[in-house]
Amino acid sequence: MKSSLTFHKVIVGLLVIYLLIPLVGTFLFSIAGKWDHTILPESYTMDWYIELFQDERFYDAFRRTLFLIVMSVGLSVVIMLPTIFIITVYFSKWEGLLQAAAMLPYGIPPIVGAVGLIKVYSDGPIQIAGTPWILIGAYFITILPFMYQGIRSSLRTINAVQLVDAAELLGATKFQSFRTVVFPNIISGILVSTLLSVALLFSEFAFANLLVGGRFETIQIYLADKLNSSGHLTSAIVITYYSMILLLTGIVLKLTFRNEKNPVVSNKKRILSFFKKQHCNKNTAIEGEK
Amino acid sequence: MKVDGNWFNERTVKPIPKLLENKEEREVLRKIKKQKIYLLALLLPFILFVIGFEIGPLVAMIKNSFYADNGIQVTIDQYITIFKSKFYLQAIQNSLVISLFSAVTSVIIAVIAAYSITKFSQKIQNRLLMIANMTSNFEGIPLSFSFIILLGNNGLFTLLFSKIGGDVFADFNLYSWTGLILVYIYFQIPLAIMLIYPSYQGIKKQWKEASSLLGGSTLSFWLHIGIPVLLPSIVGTFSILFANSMGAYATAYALVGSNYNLLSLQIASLVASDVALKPQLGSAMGVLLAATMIGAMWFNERMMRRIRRDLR
Amino acid sequence: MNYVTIDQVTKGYENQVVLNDISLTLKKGEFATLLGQSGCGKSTLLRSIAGLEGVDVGRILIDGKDITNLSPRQREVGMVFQSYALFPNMSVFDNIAYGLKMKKVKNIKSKVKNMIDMVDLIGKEESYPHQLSGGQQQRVALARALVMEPKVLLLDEPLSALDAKIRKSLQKELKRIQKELDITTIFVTHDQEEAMTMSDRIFVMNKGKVVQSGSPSEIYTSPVNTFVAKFIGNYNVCNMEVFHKLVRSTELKGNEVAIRPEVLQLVSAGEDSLDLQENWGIKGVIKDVSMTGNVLRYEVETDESAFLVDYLHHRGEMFEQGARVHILVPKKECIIL
Repeated sequence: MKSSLTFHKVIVGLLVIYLLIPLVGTFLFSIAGKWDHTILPESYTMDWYIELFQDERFYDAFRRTLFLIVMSVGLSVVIMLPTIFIITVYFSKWEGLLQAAAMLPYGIPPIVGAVGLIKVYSDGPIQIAGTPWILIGAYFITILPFMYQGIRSSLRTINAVQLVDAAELLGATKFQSFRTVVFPNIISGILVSTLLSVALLFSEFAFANLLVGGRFETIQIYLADKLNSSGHLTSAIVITYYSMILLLTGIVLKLTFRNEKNPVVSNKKRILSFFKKQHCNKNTAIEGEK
Repeated sequence: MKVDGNWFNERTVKPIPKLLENKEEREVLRKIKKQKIYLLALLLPFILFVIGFEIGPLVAMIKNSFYADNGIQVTIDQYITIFKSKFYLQAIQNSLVISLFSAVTSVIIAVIAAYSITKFSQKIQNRLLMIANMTSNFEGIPLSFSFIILLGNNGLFTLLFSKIGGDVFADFNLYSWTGLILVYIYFQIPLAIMLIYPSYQGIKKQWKEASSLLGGSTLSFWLHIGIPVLLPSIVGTFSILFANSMGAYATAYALVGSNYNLLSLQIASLVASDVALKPQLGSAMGVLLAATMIGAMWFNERMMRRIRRDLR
Repeated sequence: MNYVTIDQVTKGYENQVVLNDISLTLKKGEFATLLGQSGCGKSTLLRSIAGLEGVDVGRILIDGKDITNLSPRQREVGMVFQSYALFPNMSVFDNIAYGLKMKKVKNIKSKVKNMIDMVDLIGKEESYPHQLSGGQQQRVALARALVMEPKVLLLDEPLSALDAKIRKSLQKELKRIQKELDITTIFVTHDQEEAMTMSDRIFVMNKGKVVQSGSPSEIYTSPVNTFVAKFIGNYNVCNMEVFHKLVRSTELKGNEVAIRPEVLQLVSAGEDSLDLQENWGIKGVIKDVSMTGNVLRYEVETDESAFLVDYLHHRGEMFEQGARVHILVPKKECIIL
């Protein structure tokens, strides 16, 4: 047993190095002064970051991205929360339909989605191709699976149906029971899927590039445009951007750590378990006997 | 009247009117109906979004793929064009090969790595998964950029190796098939690890113990129990990774631009480039790409049935 | 002739002793139970016999052969786990056949068939574990272990995950199969009732030691210490000084006295025909009455401590809560600890 642990250490070590090299390399490049023939940079500098933070284009792109995210995630919360609540509590026979609609985007890559969106919105009654509005719609659909699963599982965890029954028996109206009993209990669950969605949209490039492109420059478009200019400056953008993503996912992990056994994998696992839904159910049936 | 979560459903409401004699109860019923309409109205925005941005565009794409370039004649010419064109077939083949290769490689690496991870203490396991989670968010444009500064024409490693070792990397070209594979594998591995790792937790220590008490060796345990139990998750992960790289656009776009003939890049240039827009042809290719995704899921389903009869 | 011998086995983790110098022997065909609370070391002892855990000191012999350092697969013992540990990807038939296949035995089919017959699972051969009920899964686990014709059968709380009714019937069936095959069996449980009904011999364990061993009735009627008395039979255990005060007599000597609840008698406070030759009388008030099926349990509060008194539930009279009573304590039923 002991000797084989060395084997596992080597495997894991190699893995970690492989995974971290591009990140570490980019980080070093972003703070390197002169660096072309040594293993580590010869000198360090913060110039690239200073240059970046003086670039109006960067701020503009950042603001636009933020606008898109706030709009689409906000819309998603406002629309999905009542939708999922109403369907689970009052129209449970439609749950299958809701799930199918909500999970479908996971199987459609943006490149496919974009083809149809361009077709629908470049002519006809609503011509919003090339404007941020089409992106908001596309993003609403992009984050649908995550928002759906987050809200759905929060409702399930707190046993919303029974809570609402209890509240209504005690004289609350539907709206009251939602506002006072259900909502406060699922905030943290929703927060997690919201933050995940924010992180996801931060890294969204395909829709942005295909549907709008340079007409509404998001952070990813800006980055793609800078790819061919100074490597150091672009490194600084990448690191800045990636830090934000890390921060977001960090908060997500922290939040999930409180209520889940294995938060690091749970979100991804949920997706897989959707993928093999029936099989999972049967597996738990075995364990259910315990 | 029964009061439970569904007291409002048609099912429970319908039979009641016959029994209703007094006015008060009829009043209640009317109120319930009114509330129901009110609730349905709240579902409207969702339905609009789904039709407008999910179902609608999909249907439009499929429909559009059956039109000629002029958008008037109904025809299957677009598909014929694709299957007659060496160029487009090449794009599909390239995408398939890259996706297959990167998915298989990543799954193999992840199966081994995830097993190694389970050998460490819980604390270290969590750390390692954290790293996997962290790096799984590093994809698309930023990832491609990282590889460019490391391994590109003037990349750090490229320069370094040419100075130290000479020819090791001389033949290596990031902006090519090998480069794409390398980057694809990079973003697939963390995802694969996170998808496969949980199923190792599903392998109970007691199964190993039972197997050894019944005379089984470690090898026979893995052969007869361990791997069959892992298989659904391996196949499922493979399908996800395959679909993931079939649809990958940003990474390829940033790395090879239009230098390499990939399905996703071709679709993009047919529907949203500055030159030679052919939306109908693009739609047909989009349909084909979607079909491969469905194929991947179908494969997942089929394999599962074959290998694990117990999951039927 | 001893068939299984555990000789001075000691085992510890880091700074905690789990098995403390345990020695015990079993005869062939005996049904022995390791009884104790969780964490007493009973499961560890069982796993050590199976070879799933090593021991630090001591020897384990089965049928005269020292197996202390053999791997599990060489030990010829069978084990049934608490969670069954059935292989989820294999049918009932394949689960049971697994060990035979590993050993490359002939006539696998007929052997498995016989076993399926014995555990009453005919018709379920092609089912998968998740399609079976808990009780059925447990039968498969038992069959899987028994088909190997092990020298010793180890059962690690095999019934604890089942509900009461299935549990009772499986207890009987397990016992029947054990007798039929005359297989030496070591059973681990924390349920004293289960231990009583099933065992030829019980080893009561506490803190890594065997504190008492004997037949179920020996253990029940003469516990050697407070732990056993309380764990086995809801004994009323009373400090001797307190007892002296209560009965106004210092006849008994020792630290504590233990009295089974069902030997005590209650008499209305008004009655004076108390037999104080054979008994002691203690004044008390009924504080609570509860019923568990056919047994009425009174909790009687006295000046110093509370006593439990069990009555078979006859149709006739019953003491009300708050009634003043005398507890009659038969002198010869007092066990001094």
